[in-house]
Amino acid sequence: MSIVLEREGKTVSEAIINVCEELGITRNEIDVQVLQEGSKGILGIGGKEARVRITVIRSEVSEKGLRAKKALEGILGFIVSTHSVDLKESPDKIKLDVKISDDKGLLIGKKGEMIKAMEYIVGKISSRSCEDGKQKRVSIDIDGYKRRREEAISRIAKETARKVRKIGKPITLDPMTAFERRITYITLKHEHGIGFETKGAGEEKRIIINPTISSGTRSRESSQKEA
Amino acid sequence: MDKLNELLTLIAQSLVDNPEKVEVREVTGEQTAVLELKVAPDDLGKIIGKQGRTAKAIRTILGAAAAKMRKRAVLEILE
Repeated sequence: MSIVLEREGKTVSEAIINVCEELGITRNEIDVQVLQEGSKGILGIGGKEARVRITVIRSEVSEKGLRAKKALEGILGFIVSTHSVDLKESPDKIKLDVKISDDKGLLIGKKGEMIKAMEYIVGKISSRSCEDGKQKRVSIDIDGYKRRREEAISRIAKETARKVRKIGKPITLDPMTAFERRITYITLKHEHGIGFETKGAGEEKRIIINPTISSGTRSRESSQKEA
Repeated sequence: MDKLNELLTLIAQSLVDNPEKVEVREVTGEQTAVLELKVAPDDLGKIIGKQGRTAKAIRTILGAAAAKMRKRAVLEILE
């Protein structure tokens, strides 16, 4: 997967600079093929625009990824003075890891509210103007906040599942955000001897972990049979 | 204080089809900055979003930028 763009400018070098600015990359990261040299014409009449075809060499990232990084850096520039953004992509995700020294709380927000807002806006901006990587979700992390949160939530889910198996009674977890519930579901899927359901709506959605004494052993038997 | 103004202009222009029609006016008070945003009628939906989701996200980001300056930001989207 590589990014190929065609752009115009008054001169070839102007067209190249425009593309680099647009995607937030340097001249070293692109291959340039000149489709048409620009010419001034006589007295501004009959001038031709220069046209270039640009191929971005970094093939592990998509155009949407580069645009997302650029958009996030633009927003961060207004809020914090120093920051660095690391872009990584997987088949379904654009991951932007932000490293900062101060104002972490400001960029995380209440319960990660600011992270969510930036993910949404950056996602919108980056998928607007390109098809490449459109299906990928933008995921932003500020100084490892989400990773730590994921670990904590996964731990709570595991501990609660263990408790449910032990006492044989359902336990209701505290209300969680969509992101937190997702982590919980993924964790609980690997736990045996329990089932789970979700009740409530909006801010009050809670996961209930139920004991299912027989199904736990059954699923283990069936997996042995498959093996 | 014109930083909030620039931030809002940047976000709004990146979201709409007619960036040249984006206008931001800022009325700054002692503690509160009121930002009035005007866009082309066709772009209004892009700024507001489904159930106001985009507008809410913009307000959150402006709020964080304003908090840094120890201010409060109020976003008014003009029709």
